Amino acid sequence: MGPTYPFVALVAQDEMKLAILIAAIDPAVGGVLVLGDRGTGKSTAVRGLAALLPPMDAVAGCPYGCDPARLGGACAACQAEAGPKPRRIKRPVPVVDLPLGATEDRVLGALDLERALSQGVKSFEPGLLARAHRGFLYIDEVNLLDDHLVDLLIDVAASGENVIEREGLSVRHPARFVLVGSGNPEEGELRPQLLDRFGLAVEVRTPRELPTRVEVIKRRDAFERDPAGFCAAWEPEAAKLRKRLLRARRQVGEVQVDEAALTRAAQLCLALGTDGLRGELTLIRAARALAALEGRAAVGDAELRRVAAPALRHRLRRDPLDDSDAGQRVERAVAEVFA
Amino acid sequence: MKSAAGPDPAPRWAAALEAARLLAADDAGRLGGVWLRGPAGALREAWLAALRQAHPPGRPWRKLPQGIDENRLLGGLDLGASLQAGRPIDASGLLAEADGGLLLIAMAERLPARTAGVLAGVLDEGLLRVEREGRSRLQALRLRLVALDESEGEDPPLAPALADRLALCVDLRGLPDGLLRLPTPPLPWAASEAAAPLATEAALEALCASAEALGVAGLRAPAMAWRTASLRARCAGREQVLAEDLIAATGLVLAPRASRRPLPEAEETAAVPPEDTPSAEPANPPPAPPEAPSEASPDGAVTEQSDPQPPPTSADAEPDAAAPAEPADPSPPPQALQDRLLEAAETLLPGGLLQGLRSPAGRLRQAGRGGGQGGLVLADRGRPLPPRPGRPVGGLRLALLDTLRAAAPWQRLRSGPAGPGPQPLRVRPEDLRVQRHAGRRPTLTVFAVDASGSAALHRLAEAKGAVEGLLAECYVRRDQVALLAFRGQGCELLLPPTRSLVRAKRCLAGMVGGGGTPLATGLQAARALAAAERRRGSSPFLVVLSDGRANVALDGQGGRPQAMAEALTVARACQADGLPALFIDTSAQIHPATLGLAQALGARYLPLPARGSAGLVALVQQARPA
Repeated sequence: MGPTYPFVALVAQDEMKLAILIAAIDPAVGGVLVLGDRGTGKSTAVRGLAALLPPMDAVAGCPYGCDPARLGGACAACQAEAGPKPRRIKRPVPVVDLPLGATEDRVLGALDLERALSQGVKSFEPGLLARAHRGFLYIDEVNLLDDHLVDLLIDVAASGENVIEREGLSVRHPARFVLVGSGNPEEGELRPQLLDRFGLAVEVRTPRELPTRVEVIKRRDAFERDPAGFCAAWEPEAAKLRKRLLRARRQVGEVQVDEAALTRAAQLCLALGTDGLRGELTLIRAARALAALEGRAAVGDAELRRVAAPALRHRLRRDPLDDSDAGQRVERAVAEVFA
Repeated sequence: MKSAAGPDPAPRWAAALEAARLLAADDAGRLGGVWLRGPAGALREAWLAALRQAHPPGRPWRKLPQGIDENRLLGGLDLGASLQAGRPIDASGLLAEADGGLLLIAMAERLPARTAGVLAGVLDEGLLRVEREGRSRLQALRLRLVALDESEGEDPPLAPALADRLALCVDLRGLPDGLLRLPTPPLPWAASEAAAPLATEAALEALCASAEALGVAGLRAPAMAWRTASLRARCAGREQVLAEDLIAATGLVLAPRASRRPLPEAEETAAVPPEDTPSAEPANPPPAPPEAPSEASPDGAVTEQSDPQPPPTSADAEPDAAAPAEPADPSPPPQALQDRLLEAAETLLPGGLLQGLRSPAGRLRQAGRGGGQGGLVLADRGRPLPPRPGRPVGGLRLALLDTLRAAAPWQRLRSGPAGPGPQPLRVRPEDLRVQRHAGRRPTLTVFAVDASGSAALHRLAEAKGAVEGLLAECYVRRDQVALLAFRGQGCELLLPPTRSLVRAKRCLAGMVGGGGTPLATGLQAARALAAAERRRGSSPFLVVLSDGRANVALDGQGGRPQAMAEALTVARACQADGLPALFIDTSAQIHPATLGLAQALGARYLPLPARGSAGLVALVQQARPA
């Protein structure tokens, strides 16, 4: 496999890039859904994320890559064997692709057939969810994925744990991952339950300005001619962003959210009539991650404004007779509330 | 500017052959492949033969048949070999077998969206990801596809997700077989060792601007055009892309995706807000340019109605002309270059092309024919559910892998005294697992809406709202909705079956009302649509919104008695088809004739309740069969 296109070299699509960075800073934001035109760099952005993330500490030999610093929620093996000071290794943050043709046994994990047949040993062969633990699970064309797989994913993503009870196996292992999906709603609508599970939803469009278009193709061509050279040329930029990302992750916990910001968030959600409290929570979390990314100590109006559309647009009740898209409705509400 | 005979087809055929050679030379698989439109026939055979001839011997040349299952396509577990060896052995799929070569997709227009998605993913990444049947594999894959798309008229063509990733488009529709008598340019045409040309700002700008002028959506197409131009230059042993390369690439990549004519009608196209026309998705195109021809004769022969014939720039458009024009002129001023690209595109636009991308509505008789064409469509076997213990009887299929998994842990306990050699696998009845499918057929709700008369306008708005409301609320069930409107003398399919709310909104925006009530025509159209959709494996449900006062007969003539009689006949035919229906009476008071009609239809009859689409949505949901 050659190098992947650098995240920092993506032209335009700022909302998408921001949403992905926010999810990388605070995974609790609840995943990112990228919807829109074909050929706008949706996949490129997600795949480019892997190279941007600094490696993480993991328990050596653990199939799930448990966090040695936090064995509380770790897998059974780590809790039983690792002891208070497990051996650590550095490994890249997983960005796992879930291909369309995947079957359930590979997604959830299943009995290891090889060992069962050859050695008569009943052992669990972890699946993609295990591989994605503490990282990202990416589904391109999520709207084309089998419904039953989508149901499984929703369930696991919500609980942070994968429970397998089949073929005489009884296994549970942690599976906390950021779900990133992309798709084109023209090719099939997403179910509302799924939509709602994603923390952020961004819409991408083909850029309209000629210079931007030319730049997109130019960079793509340069990358294809010489992938290694292209990546090297962008590495300083990537390093800068990596540093910001690290700092933001360290500081996101300390970002202040005062009463005023909470009130603003609540007002906005009330004005839009979003169901439940998930919208407000996501809004606050995303704004906090954004503040951390930009090195600010507290969440203010500016942060809330910028994350309002991705945090709320997919939570609006559908009004069949209102033709404006959800993003515009959020913008209108923002303009009113922040007036 | 009009030409009765249509444009000279020779340049199009020459461009088609050039596409074959470029594809064969595209070793790296950077062009994705060819989207080959046109019926099976001598011309397509000749094109494939040309490709075959240019195709390096020894490279794979595989066919992807219709209805291939995902195991065969992607690979997974080879059960026979695994059982024999006593350990899992991978089966390679068709995709892996085609690595480095060509994969021909038969009847590509019927390719399921998922399979198209899988192929698109492989093309994007150059990687095959197998995560199935207990096997996990990642394999680099260089694939070139030839999608044989035989759709015509209003048939949905190749899935846009895949079409978008095949750089070269070859359209043989409407080309005469007589072209075969022309001398074939020399073949093959191998890639040379020349280094990949550097992209110049001028070239990219010209391609991007041309794509925009032609109404080609997205950035993939101009990027693909650049790759094509660059490959063409290398094939000629050059390290520089000349204007002729860009012109050829425009003809092969951009022109066939055009959704508007670029040149003479500049003022007219400017009137259309450009933001509204980015969809190059041929199945559901943006509003047609006003000058688009509306009909092509059914055999595919192109009837040029108002085809603006550009000045014959044959030297430019003839891609095989041995570059007499440009000796060394790599970067003319962008505007001039763009104009030349567009001129070339114009020459290559087949007369019927824009018609293929035309009107969101489509004539109903064509929709009916399209759906029925080909007869049997694979029935939806439902989504797979986790396998369950049980015996494979009564049509249930054995889930072999899961059966093995169930048996595997017990092998040591079950084995007899240890003998030499491999032990046979011991499978007991309780190990058996069967594959289950959730067998619900998708439901299609067909709205047939009376759009006659001025009073109907209001009802029309409600129907629109109901369609959107149904889509918004019920797509949990993965249901589809279609909308027919009848008025004046005919019936129009305003919204072909869809579950995309986005698409529905776009189609419904332009719906209008007025005129007489050709109820029989409307019912007949709904019946044809329902029959076609049933053959595709969905269960149609008809909702008629009308006051039931037919006054236009099937032949388009006025006259209430005749019209009513015909409406009754068609309604009975619908009932005989077993088409479940709901009749919503939109008139102010209940009329016995309308009741009779609903009865003939075997429909539930409901006078229109409280105004508004919300009420209508609720009604349809109640009435619809589960």
